[in-house]
Amino acid sequence: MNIIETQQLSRRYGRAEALHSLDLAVPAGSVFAFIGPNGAGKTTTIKVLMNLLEPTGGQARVLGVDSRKLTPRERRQIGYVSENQKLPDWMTVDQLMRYCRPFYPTWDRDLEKKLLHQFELPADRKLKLLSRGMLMKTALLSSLAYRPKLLVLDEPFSGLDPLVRDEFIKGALEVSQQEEWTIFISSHDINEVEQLADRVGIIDGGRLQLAEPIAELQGRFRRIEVTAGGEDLSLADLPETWLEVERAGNFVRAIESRCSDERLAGYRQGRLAEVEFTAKPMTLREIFVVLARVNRVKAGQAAA
Amino acid sequence: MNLTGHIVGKDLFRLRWILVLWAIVLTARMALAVIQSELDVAGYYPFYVMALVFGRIFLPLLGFGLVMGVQGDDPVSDSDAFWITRPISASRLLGAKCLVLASLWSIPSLVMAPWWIAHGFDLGQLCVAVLQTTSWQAALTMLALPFAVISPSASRFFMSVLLAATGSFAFVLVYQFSHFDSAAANPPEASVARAWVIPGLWAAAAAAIILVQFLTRRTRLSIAILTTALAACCALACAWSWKLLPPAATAGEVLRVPAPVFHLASATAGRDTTVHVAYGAGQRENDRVAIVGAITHQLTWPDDSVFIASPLSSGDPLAQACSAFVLGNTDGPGISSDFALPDQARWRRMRHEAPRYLATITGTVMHAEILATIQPRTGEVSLQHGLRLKIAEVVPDFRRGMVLTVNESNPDLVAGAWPRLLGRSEPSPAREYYFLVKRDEGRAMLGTAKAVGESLTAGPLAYSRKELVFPMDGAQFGRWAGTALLVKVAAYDDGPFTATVAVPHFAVEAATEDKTAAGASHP
Repeated sequence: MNIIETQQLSRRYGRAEALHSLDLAVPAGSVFAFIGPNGAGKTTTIKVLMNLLEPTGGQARVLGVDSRKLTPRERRQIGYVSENQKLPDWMTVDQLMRYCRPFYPTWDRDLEKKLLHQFELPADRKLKLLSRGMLMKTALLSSLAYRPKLLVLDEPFSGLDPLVRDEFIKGALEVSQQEEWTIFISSHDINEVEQLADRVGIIDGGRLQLAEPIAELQGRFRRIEVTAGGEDLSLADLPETWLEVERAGNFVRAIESRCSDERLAGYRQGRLAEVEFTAKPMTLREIFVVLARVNRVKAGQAAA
Repeated sequence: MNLTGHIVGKDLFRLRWILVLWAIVLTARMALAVIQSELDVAGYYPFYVMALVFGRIFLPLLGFGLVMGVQGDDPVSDSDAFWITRPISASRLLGAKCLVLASLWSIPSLVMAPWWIAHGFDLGQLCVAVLQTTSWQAALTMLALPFAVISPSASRFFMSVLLAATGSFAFVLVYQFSHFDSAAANPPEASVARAWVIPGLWAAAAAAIILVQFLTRRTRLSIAILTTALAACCALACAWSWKLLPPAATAGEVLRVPAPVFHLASATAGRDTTVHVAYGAGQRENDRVAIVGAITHQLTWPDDSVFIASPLSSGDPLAQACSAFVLGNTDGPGISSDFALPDQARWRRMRHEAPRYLATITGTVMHAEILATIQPRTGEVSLQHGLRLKIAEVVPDFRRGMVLTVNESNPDLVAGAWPRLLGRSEPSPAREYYFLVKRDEGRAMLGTAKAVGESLTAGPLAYSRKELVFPMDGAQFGRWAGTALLVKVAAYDDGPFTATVAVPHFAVEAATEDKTAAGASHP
């Protein structure tokens, strides 16, 4: 069952198209990382999912309900933390918790106390006096204490120091893994997201580039290096699935985007049998950078 | 716990210090006004200026800004607002905000209620005063809320208000400049219609904006509605000339009096004949109506020669009517004159040649009302219909009689409510009378009033000092001062009229004749 599902989701700001026919599915119980460069459409997607913005086309369903028709009943099952969210900064942390509690029948006071202690938040301090990291932790606390089915985090790490990030991730993961919540997280910080997520969606220019489990993605992408000895390798003969092919003399470096054991075995047994051939695994960050570059090139060619 | 109440509690807690400040300012303004009302001289003008600043500038501004203060914590034009991502429905939030605003509206009434009660407001008057005070707050809210709901922050709110005010001013200025030559005074009916249409239009637009913002958060649509409504209001304010409402009722319709009634009588005693002419006010209670103005009548022989032509009465008929009124004389003195006909020749001729009678009365129907009734003792204070009357001193003056120095002020205005004489013009000083009344003896004495010093109207307070003189000798002084009541009566002008009555053959034998005025006209 998918907790989040979008079909041909589009959103325009005047003439600018922020989202273009986005088809996305986030299965229940997954930690879904939604990554993309600046202006890719991550925040717009999340705002549409949370009904903070209306889509100009298509449909988004959250917890099985059209995002435009989210009622308090669904909201009680959704936690939302965003770097842009404006918290009532005249309240203290404790006042914020007291204000939020009655809205959630499932509010867990023990969990609230535990997280308050874990995040080392000063309960009697006003939010306007808190640092950015503490504010984000407060927002997370107010979104975790009622044990939501879906936790949506929009750029939660931006501006946070590594220590706070670790605490934040630890806090989010600990609870979500115990409860099998679904987490939808958008971030620039791919390294942090890689630790957290089991699925990833990459968006660029308002278009979804891919959405799949991270393990599959990392299994699919390999950094290929070929040293051909005395022979020259013809670039025209290289597989189409190789991206960003670079050549220096008899040395070729490329990214295989459809890698599999069978395909590697085929390379080794086929025309690359006589050459030195290596296929190294890639990090999510490297894959993201490659895809972003390829998209830029494609967009440039299309514009030309 | 009720979630709407929870949101209301949060807002009130957040605004608690501002509300305390507001209550303090309200109290301070009233205290200032009370202090002023006790001052006998006009030399305390700085106090009046302070009251003016508090009452006319600071308080409305604070009330206006408070609306944004209520709305600002849960903005409906900001997609990053905290409440949107929480299980709070738009309708619940709207309900909560309405309740918070209603709570704010109650604060001025709560602050002023002790003053009102201490000054003798009865339950009905209290309700009217609360309604007036609340409606003033509600009007401020209706003005401010459309701007508040389209503004994500206080700075944007004040910027929007400033922009709208500047735009409206520029619009009116340009219109006035371009229509400078054709500027003509609007008839009152058009002004009245405009006074209903513009607030009505604004209220409808405000309601639409509030609903659009709370339920759909389409700020651009709301801004479009607001701009259109503002432009329409400015245009209507400049160019409206239609009379939507029916024309104002004439005096006769207002009073439900078909016309004054003329009562003619003649009596013969020996060789003398007396013609008695009296005027009443038809089906209206006599004690509530006095007809004043020029009353002429004439008796004419069949050959058109006039043998009686004179004003009907002398003196101040309104004062006579009010005198009867304060004594509770429901018949009223009416206005009457007796004409003796000692001339035997005329009398004989009248018996054989019935003369024609024609009376013309042009006047104003006055509606008398008691404003205050107090014992004429120093320091006595009474309050009725929004009037505060304080007798500073009662002095026997052997040359003039009893002299009372009275301070008058209007506590309704002090307390922020409008005069309790809702919907009625305040009495003009020329139509006010002061009587010393001994009801048990059925006697009323009209006093002459003379203003002492300057009459001041500044800030929330109108204040005047008067010297009342009741002519009496020393023996009467003790009797009147001990048991009489000082009664202030105001007569309200209910409209001018002209009426005539003609009797073709008024014979002495027809001893009595009642005629309702024919051809009454009410301009």
